[in-house]
Amino acid sequence: MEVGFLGLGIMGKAMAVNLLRHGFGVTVWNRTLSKCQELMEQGASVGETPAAVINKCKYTIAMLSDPSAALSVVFDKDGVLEQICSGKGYVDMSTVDAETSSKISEAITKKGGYFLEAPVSGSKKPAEDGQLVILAAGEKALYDEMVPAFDVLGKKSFFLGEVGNGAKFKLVVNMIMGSMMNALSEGLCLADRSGLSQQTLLDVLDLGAIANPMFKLKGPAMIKGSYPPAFPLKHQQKDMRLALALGDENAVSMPIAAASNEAFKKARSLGLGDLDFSAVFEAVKSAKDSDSA
Amino acid sequence: MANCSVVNASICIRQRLLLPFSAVFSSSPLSMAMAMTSSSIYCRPRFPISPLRRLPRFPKSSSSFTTIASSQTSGDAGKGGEFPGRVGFLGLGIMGSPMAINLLKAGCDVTVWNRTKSKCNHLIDLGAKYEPSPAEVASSCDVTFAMLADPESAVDVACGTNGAVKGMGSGKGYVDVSTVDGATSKLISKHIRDTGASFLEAPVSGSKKPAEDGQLIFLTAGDASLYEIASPLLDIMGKSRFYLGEVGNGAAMKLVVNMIMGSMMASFSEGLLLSEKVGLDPNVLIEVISQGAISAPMFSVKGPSMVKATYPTAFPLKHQQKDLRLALGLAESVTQPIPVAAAANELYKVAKSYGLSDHDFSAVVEALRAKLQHSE
Repeated sequence: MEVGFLGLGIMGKAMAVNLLRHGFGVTVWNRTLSKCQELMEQGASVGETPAAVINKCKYTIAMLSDPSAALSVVFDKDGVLEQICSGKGYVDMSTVDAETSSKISEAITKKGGYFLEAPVSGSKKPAEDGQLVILAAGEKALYDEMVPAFDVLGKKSFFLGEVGNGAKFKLVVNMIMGSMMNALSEGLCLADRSGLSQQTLLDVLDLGAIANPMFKLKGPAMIKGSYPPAFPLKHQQKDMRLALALGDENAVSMPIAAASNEAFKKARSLGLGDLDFSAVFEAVKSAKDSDSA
Repeated sequence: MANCSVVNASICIRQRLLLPFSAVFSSSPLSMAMAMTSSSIYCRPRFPISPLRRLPRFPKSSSSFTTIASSQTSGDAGKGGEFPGRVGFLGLGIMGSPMAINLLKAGCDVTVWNRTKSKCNHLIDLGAKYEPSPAEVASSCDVTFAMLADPESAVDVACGTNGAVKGMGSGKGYVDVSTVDGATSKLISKHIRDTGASFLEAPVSGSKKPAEDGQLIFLTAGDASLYEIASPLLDIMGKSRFYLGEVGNGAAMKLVVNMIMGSMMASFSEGLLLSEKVGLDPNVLIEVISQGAISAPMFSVKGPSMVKATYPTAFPLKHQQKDLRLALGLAESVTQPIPVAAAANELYKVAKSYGLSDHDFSAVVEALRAKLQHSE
């Protein structure tokens, strides 16, 4: 199977490599063309523009960092819209708000193409290991045709109905994740300030009802003050913001998410946006430093 | 625990403090020799290695050590035989009742008391003895456990009229497995120790089902000697135990854990409600979560009933809110802002105001639904 791949960031690169390794023909594009080099070495072809990739491939996957990048790739000059047409499928796996997704879907289908949103749950390692959880919605026929690719990229995929549903599910999941990371950060701080061992706290957590892979994986590095970016904090904060907007639109009370979002904002203001989202721990910690501004 | 076997010669020897009934444990010459050791060397303990055991870790402070017991199933025949002393149990609520039952089933000699006497009947039917006050239970037992709902009852049962303190004395131990704040624990500890008895705070992580299944996690602190002696009993009721040093540390650890849990449940509630309001199937959300990095047993266990708006009580909401309140108090005492926990606490308070105190703490999801309150 041949696919186009737009966007070779933390996620896109790992996903494209995975497809190549499993025998897919892949044509890549990235805004910074140099990033395509490594993929070329692994057997990918390169498209000079998103339009060029669409022109070449029946199916194209996009993995961009936020709504504005996702829109840009579609609507800008040399973008997807210039070449999309009947018989071609566009699968946007970026995490965006439902409105952005709908906008893209409408434009694609107007030109005869078919569209699937398919944001993923999982960060760098699951992407490398093909263990993502794919939350697809939109054109069911396209979903069925993408299953071979999804089976390589992920451990499980869901078809969730109309465009917007995938985006919404992703935001809800990441909202909970962001709040959980804050709860863990507060717990680690409180343990430390109370004279307890933070590692012991992690050990206790791992034995009980609230044990989860994220705490187990991120906890030890957080204690060491190490935040290698698997999921950049600025993207987590973007997701919290979008989730809060979704709640806003529907008058849904979300005080925990709101409080968590504040911590992520603070972390960004401390310059931690490009670190892993677990770096919010530093923002929670700094709240008690006697010499903080 | 009673037979402290040694893997090889390089293992350090732990001192056994000579309490009256501890010598009864030691049937082997090695154990007897160990009991005689006068030097107190707390080096890195090494238990016999079996596939189920994990190595203990060094704690933060040098004066304490953290041990992790192997998992042992409750109901092991004859395990009560490792503790030939008499065990008291004060408080037979959601937690105390199954814990005491597990001790009985393991063959322990158990004497119970509960404020509402009728709650003791089931235990008496299973062979427990009964005494009409905490003081009388304590005086007739070697180690007495207390499992009360909150700081007030814990203090009352220990130090009130006919409280346990009146029956304690040298050679006896009091193990408070209630969840309270550090100050309460220290107060009870002082009164107990003033009688010459030993004290161990040992709040648990785990609710009704883990209590029934003997799968609790004990977060202990206080007299290390009592920890040693009580460990076979903890192993009957639980799957692992930690010793965290001085009184207050167990209480603090429990509060931190429950603070995280309370915040997680509140966030999960937001997610379920948001899904519902934007036209997504909350059951699918639960399934998606179970596949990913934030998959936790609590979500898969509680989620489905929350979606159906049923909240069978495993951990009463009022107790979760109590724990958050105490955690906020702890945080204030060390000047640590915890805004997410504070927001969660508010939600539990709202839930209480809706009359949901005795429901499971997962009922907090109802607090997110606005309700008009009629003015009095």
